[in-house]
Amino acid sequence: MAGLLERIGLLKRAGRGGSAASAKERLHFVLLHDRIDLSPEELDRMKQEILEVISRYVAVESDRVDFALEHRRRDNLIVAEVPFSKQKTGARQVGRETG
Amino acid sequence: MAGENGMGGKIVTVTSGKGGVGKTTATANIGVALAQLGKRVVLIDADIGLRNLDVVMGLENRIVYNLVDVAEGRCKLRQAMIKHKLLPDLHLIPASQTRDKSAVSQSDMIQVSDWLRPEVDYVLIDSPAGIERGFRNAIAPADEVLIVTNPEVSAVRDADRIIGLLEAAGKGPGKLVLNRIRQDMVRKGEMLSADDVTDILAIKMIGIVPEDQFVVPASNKGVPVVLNEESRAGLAYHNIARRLNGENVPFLPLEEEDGFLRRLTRLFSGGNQLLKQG
Repeated sequence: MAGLLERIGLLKRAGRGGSAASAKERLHFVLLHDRIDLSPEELDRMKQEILEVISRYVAVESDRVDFALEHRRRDNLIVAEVPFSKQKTGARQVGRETG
Repeated sequence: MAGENGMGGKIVTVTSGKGGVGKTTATANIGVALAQLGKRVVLIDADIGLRNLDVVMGLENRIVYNLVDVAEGRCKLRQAMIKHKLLPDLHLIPASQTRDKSAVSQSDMIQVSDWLRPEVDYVLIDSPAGIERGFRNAIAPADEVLIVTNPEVSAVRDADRIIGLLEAAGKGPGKLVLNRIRQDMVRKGEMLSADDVTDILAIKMIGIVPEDQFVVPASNKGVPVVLNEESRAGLAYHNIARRLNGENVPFLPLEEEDGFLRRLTRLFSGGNQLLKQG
């Protein structure tokens, strides 16, 4: 029955794990990097600079920081996850040191 | 008049980035289909040095003058326009085979298009592959750009690059022609679907052309496949021409040659009705 439904298009196509899925995944990856047009070194530097700025205000848990490129419709996004600790005293100290 | 600017015909450039995706075939077929709809059409082969539109159109033995001759003032525009054998309102301006992209400039392309605009409904420009000078020349006069791609990683990636360049040039985003799709493979999850490609590129689709056994024989004979009423690819090109012309033609489900739906439809319609598509 599933086979028949698939054939007349009532079920989503079976091969979600087929090569089309990897084509899609690989395309998303290459297009994000094509579109941002930055070298890995430049990306890394950008990440470090963003973290430096945030660290002036809050204490960042640097081992849990995650930067990712994402693509939603025609928007290309730099998505940063930056967990920080609640100890604002630490943050103020950093701010005083740099300022 | 088809033009948006009130100055007559509309200039439509067909491009792709990647070579071999079916740009020239698309240009020829959309041009023939527009002429079949009663439109006055001129096709321009902008692939200087690698001309092919003449052979796809079956007009290779009638060439005297070409686009470079017009640009360099060796002939009048009319003299370089080859009339199609079956459709008197369809003309081709061939590329030069002995020169290179530098023989024509962006202002030459704009000039030729401006001369043609008052006399025709559509000028279709077949762009060379790539993103260099030939591509820049081809899009310079465009009112609208069609991007041809295939459901493959490399072709879609190049289409994305082209969309970016078109936007930067103020010509974007263009409309997509997805060529050589095989619905049987899409169903098995072994080929990107039209929806996948639209999601990734986020531009409007103007046509979905199925892989079709009639395409190669048509190019062998120099008779565009849209003239073959049995061909599903031909029907798809016909629909693209109608959409380009402002008609709202729905995208209907694609089915492979002996798909279940096709057989079912044939059963219910007494065997005559082919499933309409893309």
